[in-house]
Amino acid sequence: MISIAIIEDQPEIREGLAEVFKQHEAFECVGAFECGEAALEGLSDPLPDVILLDLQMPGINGVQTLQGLRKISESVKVIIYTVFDTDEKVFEALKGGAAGYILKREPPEKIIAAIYEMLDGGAPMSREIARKVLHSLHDVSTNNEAREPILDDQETTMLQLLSKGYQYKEIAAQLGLSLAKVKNQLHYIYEKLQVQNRTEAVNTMAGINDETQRRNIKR
Amino acid sequence: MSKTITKIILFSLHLALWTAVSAQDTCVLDQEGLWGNDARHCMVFLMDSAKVLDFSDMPRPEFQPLPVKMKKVINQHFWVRLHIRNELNRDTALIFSCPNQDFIDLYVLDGSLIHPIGLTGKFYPRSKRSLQDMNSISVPLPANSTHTFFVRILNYGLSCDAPMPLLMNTIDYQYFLKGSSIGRSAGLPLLIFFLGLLSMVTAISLVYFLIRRDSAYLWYAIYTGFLLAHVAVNEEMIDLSDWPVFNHTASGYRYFSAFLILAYISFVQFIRKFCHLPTEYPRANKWGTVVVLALILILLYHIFYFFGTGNIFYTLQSSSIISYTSFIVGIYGVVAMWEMKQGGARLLFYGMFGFLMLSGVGYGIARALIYVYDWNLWIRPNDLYAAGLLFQMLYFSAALARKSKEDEAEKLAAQESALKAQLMVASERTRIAFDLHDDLGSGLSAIQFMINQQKNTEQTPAQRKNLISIQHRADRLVDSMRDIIWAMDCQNDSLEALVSYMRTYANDYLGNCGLESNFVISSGLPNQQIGGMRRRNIVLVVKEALHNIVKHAQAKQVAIYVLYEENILSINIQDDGKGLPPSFKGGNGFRSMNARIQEIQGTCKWVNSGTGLRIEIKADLTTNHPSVTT
Repeated sequence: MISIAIIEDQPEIREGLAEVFKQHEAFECVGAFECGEAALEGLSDPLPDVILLDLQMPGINGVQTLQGLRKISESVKVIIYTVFDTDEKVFEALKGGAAGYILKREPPEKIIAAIYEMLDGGAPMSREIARKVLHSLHDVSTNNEAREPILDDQETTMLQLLSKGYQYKEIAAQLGLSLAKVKNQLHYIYEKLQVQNRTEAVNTMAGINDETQRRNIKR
Repeated sequence: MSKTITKIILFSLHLALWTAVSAQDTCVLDQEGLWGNDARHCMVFLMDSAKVLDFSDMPRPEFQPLPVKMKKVINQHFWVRLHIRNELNRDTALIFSCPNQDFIDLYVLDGSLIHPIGLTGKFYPRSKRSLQDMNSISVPLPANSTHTFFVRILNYGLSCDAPMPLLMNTIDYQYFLKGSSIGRSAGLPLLIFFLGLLSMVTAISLVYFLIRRDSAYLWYAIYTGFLLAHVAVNEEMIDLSDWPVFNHTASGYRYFSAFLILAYISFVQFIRKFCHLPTEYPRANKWGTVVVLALILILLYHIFYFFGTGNIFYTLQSSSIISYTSFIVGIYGVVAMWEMKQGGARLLFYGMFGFLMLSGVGYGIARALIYVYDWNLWIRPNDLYAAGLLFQMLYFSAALARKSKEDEAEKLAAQESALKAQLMVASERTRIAFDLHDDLGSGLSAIQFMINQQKNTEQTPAQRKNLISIQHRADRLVDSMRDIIWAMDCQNDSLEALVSYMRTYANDYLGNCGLESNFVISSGLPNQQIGGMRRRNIVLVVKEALHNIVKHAQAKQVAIYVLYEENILSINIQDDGKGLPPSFKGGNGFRSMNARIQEIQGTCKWVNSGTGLRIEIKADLTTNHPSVTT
């Protein structure tokens, strides 16, 4: 049984989703909250297995809610539930520790499939997000030539192809990998993005540029 | 504050310099006596400074008026005894001369020897002879010596052969050359330095003119060129006495003032062009026209007087002409200066204060100093004059450079503020777009969600049909919002982003509709900028084309070929469907595709090929199409 919580301000969607999960035998909906504040108040350790989080909400937004949830538990799997994957906030949330995202236009069966995929260690990545990740990580790599690059060659190629609009299956064919392996790899890239993001935050706060910390980024 | 101090210093420098120049012109000889004669233009030259004393206004003996067309000798003459004491520590010379009149001659006797020194020529034809060759007598004047000369001046007639001095009816006059009043020349090096600098400025201005094609620099080159000629004539570096126009017994000196007037005219023209007077300061420009006209009139008068009449008595006239013209130009500069808004332009006009100094203020101060303090200068006046002009020119060149810099800065600032305004509009548009995105997006996604839920319930076929068409509408609305946001974001302003977007769309859309798609980029994509409007139109045309294929073509496969060559983006979409029927005249989709592609000066063609339909879309991505800016 997978426990799941929903944080979504639109009642039609929130209640509809709760209904979908209630009717599904593998899921147990442990909470449906209309805003970030209510969720942070209502949820405590241990958190549900999966949290479906809307980004556009009154009060504290999705990215801030995500930060709050991660303070409760580092290992929480938060999936962003969004209208557009081009939104800058989606990238912010991925940097902040979200496991992936699902588009709101998807029908319920696809939502459930996507949740399963993410629990399996896969992650979706759209063209725009791939471009932003490439920017964010590749720039760091090239700026610090003395250090080992954060992305390896395969990952860089993967991101480049994604940002050019290639599909997962085309990439898998080109790199000689399985589709699942490609999605797993994307998940690792998100983790690198998060470590990089944390390192930057720490460095900015401490005003240092700790090389060992940067080395840790490399898996 | 520091600007005021700079101005005061500049002002003082101008004043000091031109005072010195004027002083030298006035204190060459210290006169104690006066002498004169009826011959109006008899002169004594002192060789050191080429200073001329004129005796036109001196008291004179009584003479009977003479008929003008007198040819016969009328023995009316008088003698003058001249005492000259050279108090300088070096030798100099006196030149007795009657440069103007054809019917006068001079007879000079050394008083101490009663010995004829020379007799000037008699009837002088208008021939090519320089001043010294003409009717003049040169007498050495040793250092620290006193000389007495008898000078006989014969009026209106040929000389009689009377060699003896007549001591009666003689007027006595005394002169002495004092102290260091006839300054020493700073010499050739200074002159060469000055002329070299002037030539350099002229050359640089010409080069600037050739590079920038701005006539202001040409006028500046003409100005410094005439100044160069003016000084060269003044310093006898070039001798224009043989120049062909109306060649009387004249020297090249008459070109001296002509060149200066021409220099002034070019200067005013330069300053009008350079400070954009016609467009920015119409009033100052109007006065500029008046000044130029006045200068041209003075030049015409000068030409008539010195070139047309054969009158070579030029010196005093030249001085006054220089005074008038400098005065006019100087006043113009000082008055127009207040209108200038830019520091550099004000400095340029302010520099014309030097002309004003040259015209008279310096002269007045010099006279006062000479009378009150018995003021003497050590340097030759010509050198000071050259130095003054040099200072003037350096000043103008500096002001010019500053003005140039300010012009550049203003241009840059204007560009920047235009860019800023553009950016502000862009960011406002982006903000509106994102607001819409947030509000409409969440509303539409709720609708999509509810449709999906509704689809899982029981419906009649009609209800189901309705539901599906609502779903398509909602999906298309979300899509087009995504497109708008994508087009708005200037991070996507590149050919690569456009092609990636098309690739994603084609793969997703055709894949969802069960068609096989093949996206081929046939050339490397350069780093080409494309604005949002162009991108959006191209994307919409491609979308419409794909939409039509899915709807009407009954195709199984679609291939999209992208080619970029010489600023032309070609997108060919080939399907394996049934193609267009021969009777097809084009529907709404065709019209909207045509309208969109024409908006960005592109073309769109439909060609039935062997296996299906080929749509050929072409767009010119040259950056500056007049109507396509964003």
